[in-house]
Amino acid sequence: MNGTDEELFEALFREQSRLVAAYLLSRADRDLAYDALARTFEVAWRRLEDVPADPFPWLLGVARRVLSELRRAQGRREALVERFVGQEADLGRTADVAELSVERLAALHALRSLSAADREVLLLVAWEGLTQAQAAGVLGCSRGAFALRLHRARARLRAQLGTAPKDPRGQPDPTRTKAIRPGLGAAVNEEAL
Amino acid sequence: MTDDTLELVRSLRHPDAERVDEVFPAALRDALLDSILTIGRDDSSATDPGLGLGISPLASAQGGVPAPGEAHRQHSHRALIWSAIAVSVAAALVALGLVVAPGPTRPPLAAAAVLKEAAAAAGQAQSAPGPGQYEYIETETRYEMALYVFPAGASTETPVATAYFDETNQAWISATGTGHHVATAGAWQYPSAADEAAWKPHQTALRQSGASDFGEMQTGQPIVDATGLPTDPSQLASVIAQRKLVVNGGVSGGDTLGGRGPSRLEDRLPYSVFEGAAVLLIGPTEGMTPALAKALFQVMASQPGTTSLGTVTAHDGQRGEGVASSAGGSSVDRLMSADRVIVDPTTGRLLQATFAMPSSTTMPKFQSCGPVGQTTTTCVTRPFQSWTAPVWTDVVASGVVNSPTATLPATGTIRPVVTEVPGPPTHVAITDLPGAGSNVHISWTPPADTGTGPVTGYVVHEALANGGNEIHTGGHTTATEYTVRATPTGTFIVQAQNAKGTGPPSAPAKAPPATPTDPAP
Repeated sequence: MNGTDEELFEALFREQSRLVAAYLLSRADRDLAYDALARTFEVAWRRLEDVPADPFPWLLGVARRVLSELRRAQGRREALVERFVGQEADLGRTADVAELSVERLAALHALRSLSAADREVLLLVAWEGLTQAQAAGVLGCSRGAFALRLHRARARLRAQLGTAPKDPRGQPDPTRTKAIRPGLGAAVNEEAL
Repeated sequence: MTDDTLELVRSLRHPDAERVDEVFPAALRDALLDSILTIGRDDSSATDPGLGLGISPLASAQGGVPAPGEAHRQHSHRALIWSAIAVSVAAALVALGLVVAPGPTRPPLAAAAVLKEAAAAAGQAQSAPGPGQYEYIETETRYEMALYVFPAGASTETPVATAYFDETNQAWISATGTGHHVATAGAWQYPSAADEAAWKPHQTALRQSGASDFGEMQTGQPIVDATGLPTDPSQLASVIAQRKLVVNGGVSGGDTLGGRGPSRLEDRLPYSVFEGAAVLLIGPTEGMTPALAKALFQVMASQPGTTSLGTVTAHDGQRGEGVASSAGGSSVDRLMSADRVIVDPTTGRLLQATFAMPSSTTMPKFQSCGPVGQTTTTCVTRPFQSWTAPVWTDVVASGVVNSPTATLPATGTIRPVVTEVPGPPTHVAITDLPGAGSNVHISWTPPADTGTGPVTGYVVHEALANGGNEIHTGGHTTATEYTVRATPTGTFIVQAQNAKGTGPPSAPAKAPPATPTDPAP
């Protein structure tokens, strides 16, 4: 090992904190994501010897558990872990909502109707861009098991996409209907300034 | 993955995840890095086994070879489940460093240490004026404003330009608390000629209409009366928390901020205890004593939610230790609009204070179409101005003088308003470091055009093959080289920064193929 612990950690932080933050922000609101980011790297700092050569899956594994612990500590439900486009639209946080096409809306409903485990498998690949081996590392399963879970999750998602509008869980609730209403640009105006 | 379904899934990722640099700006992440590094690697004294957040470890998925310490990891995993009852197990884990304290508001050691050091120095200061003498305080304050117009018939405003209102305040405070007065000079500054040109016609209209211009109504920092405040830190914190500080009006007033005649600080903007203490320390404050200054720093040190910002430069060029406070509001927004102070811990002086605008407070939107409150039907275009950025106050000079007209020279250098960002760095070159595995070395030539003011740092980022963008260093070094300790996958881009902002990107440079020493799993 060359460099002090501080230098190693700083390099790790600079290389990885952005990606870990992106992971957390796609699953939790900003407050929670920031807390979880802090604790994830606090763990990495205390356990620097354990950080493997490919640190990203390891960090995501820690981040995932930290997030879960924080949610539990706050007494929040864990079921709906991810944070999708449109969820905060009524807060005027995102301008992208107006761009939600019917196709994407269908995908959103299909994803919501999947089990949390199926979603996690899909999102690690689709959102974080992990290889199957890396994603298996995050979830702590074998590569073979992950490949199987991914295959099944994709099959279930495709099936849901076919039936999403009829699935009661896929029906938009009033909040979501509001969320996808076009013309939210005005609410966003303030932030854009 | 070239599956259409996965593409759809990808498109549903929350936009925050694509905008990490906006949501968690580099400065915020640097503050986090600093605060983590202040925690000792083996420092488990701050952990609380009863409430400890058990981080269950990863299964060994890295090639199937158990890493050293695997047994401990299994142990901790079970302990996580039993933690409510198995306190002794948890305590053992603390010893192993496997339990992380909860406490999102645990004060980082560095910030409190800086403030405590400043408290000790302030308590020994001998700068109080004697009979016939005055404490002289000269400050410079900048209000940064967004300038808007309401086009006729429109329901929302249109931004026109950005401007600064720079205000210089001089105060002389006698030992007896009498005879003080404040002289104020304010000036509009524009970040660019285009801003000035865009706003001028509206400003003229604003003045002709008889409505108050910001420059006319917001002048004169009020003097806060600290006479007789307790010097016991907890009592002092209590007084500040109850917002009982009294303000002895600015030079001109009539608006909600300047005040006319004595008023309570509570009538002004809401403030936290940290902020109230900073208001008193930055001055001008009547009745300030070394003992009170010491107590105020102690109060600030005891507030939760402070973060060290490391050594930073105040607006007038003086260097000091930066401390941010996240009091009030929710954690992320708090930090992004945090109150910040710059302290010289060796002299116990506050060099600069930055006060966040409460996001819920809408600043008055001045109208050009007649007296405020009057219904205007003939209005064509209504310009108005609103604060958008935290207001900072920089102490330019302070000390004891012998007459109520004598001044002191500025301690630092008043820097010109920076108007232009630097140009792009050139000659970006990447070399693979021999024998160093996946490290690459990047070097570049500084931009010929540094804009207005010197280059303060460089941003190195990498456009990733998957469309992402990774920042490797965020403007903290003026060195023209950087070593990346990772396998590069994309092209590297360098940008120069100065006080105005970040300049345009350099031509991208591609990393050489990585040395195949570490086959993918």
